[in-house]
Amino acid sequence: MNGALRTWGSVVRLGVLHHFAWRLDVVIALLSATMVLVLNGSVWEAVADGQSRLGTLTPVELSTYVVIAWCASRVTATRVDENLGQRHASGQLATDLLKPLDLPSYLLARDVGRAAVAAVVTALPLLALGAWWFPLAWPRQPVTWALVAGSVALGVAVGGQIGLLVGMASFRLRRVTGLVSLKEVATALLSGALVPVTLMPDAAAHAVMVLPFAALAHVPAWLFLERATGAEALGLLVAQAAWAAILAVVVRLSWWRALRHLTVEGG
Amino acid sequence: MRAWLAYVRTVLLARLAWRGDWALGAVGDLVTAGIGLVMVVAIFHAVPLVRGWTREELLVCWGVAEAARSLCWMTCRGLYVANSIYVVGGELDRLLLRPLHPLAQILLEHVHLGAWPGIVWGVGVVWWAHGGLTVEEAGVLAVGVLGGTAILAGVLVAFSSIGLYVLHRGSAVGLVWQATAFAPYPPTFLPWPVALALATVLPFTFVGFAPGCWLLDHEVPGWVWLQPAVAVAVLALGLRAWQSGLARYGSAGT
Repeated sequence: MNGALRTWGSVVRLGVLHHFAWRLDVVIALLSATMVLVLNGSVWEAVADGQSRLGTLTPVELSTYVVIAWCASRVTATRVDENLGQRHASGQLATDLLKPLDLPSYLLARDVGRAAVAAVVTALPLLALGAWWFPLAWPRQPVTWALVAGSVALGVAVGGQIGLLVGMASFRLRRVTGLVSLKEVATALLSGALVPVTLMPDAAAHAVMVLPFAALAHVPAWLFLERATGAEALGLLVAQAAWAAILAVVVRLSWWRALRHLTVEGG
Repeated sequence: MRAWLAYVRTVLLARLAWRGDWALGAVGDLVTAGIGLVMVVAIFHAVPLVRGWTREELLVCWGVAEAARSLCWMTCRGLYVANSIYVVGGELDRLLLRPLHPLAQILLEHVHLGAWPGIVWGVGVVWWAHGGLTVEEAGVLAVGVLGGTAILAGVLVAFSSIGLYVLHRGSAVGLVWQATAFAPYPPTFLPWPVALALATVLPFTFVGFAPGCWLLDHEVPGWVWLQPAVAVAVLALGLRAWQSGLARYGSAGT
């Protein structure tokens, strides 16, 4: 057990190091995220201008939602799909499969490293900047912070599994870029990261709440606003965990299936 | 000229070989275009009027921006990967050996014909939100879209040239592209420093809002008519930056 922990710990560390190796890219990612946050937040601020409420949110709650959902989405935005697709396209997958590590778990562990870096060097600075630029409604109860952190962590798990599914689709399609961009769009639209879920037309909002994408940004923002507390908040976390578990099972089944049919060229 | 034609033909054949990815990419582009649209619709689902602008007016600006973005995406997608594949990966050396300008080769190797639905989509939304278009209005729209495309291309070329000066794996092009999503919004929607930046540093207000205004009855600021001049200037600056970056390129040695 201890040995396994050490092994996977070192993979997570590898993810952290890999992410830090290209420092300019970390800076660019932060700049990019900052720019979108300021632009998107400003547009929503203009929309809320002079209104007492938008849907169920006050203008301050709306700014808060936009900031928190965006910060959370930067942590849950995985690149596992691209990574797996590239491994397949380049033939590296053949040697990966010879290694004594389970590849999906290896990719997820590295993604945890990436998420940890993103949380510290992207999400927290973004939160500070958002708090300086926009009026925010801070949580009143300390426990909310723990709920939000747990929710983001579960979001990373859900995002990683979705990424693995998309990446595995590349085994059939031979290339993954198209599907990755499709996934990114679906995430942007359905997670609440750009358009608050509560401002969507009712039918759309209900549909979005059932999908796993809400786990990536909406749920953390909703918890931060303390719109769901106590048992209801726990219910949201359980729903996130359930999605992570369901997707993990689907990933596992598809992985076994994919391995039987897999053809790796080159390598 | 013969060299160009043969080159374009090879590129297209190679592209069609990955049909599955190509089709998904086209769907992806179309849905990507939908993000901005959903945002505009969601905004006006919440309130009827934002700082004096209606949904239809904003949709006209959005449509112009979308058509320009798609046209640029169709032609300039290579800039996205110029850095990782060509500069860091060393592929640029190969291009430099050929008798065509390397920038033209990078663009042509990544021409993305699948982006056409975005153009139709953008023009269609303008047509719908404007309540039809006369021949003159269609001409004005075409000028606006081409000018917007030139601005986007100029800015993207300039940013991709950063990779020729500073070695890095990713690319600032993606960052810039994200800001283009805000091209349709009137400057009054944004705090003034942001609005100013979006009209000067990254002049995307001239990609969506300004040409969109040409088609609107709304009272519009006079500077929106400067768009064609801005387009020429930005494209020239972008190419200039790339050219001088290329002169400094020292090869990765691979």
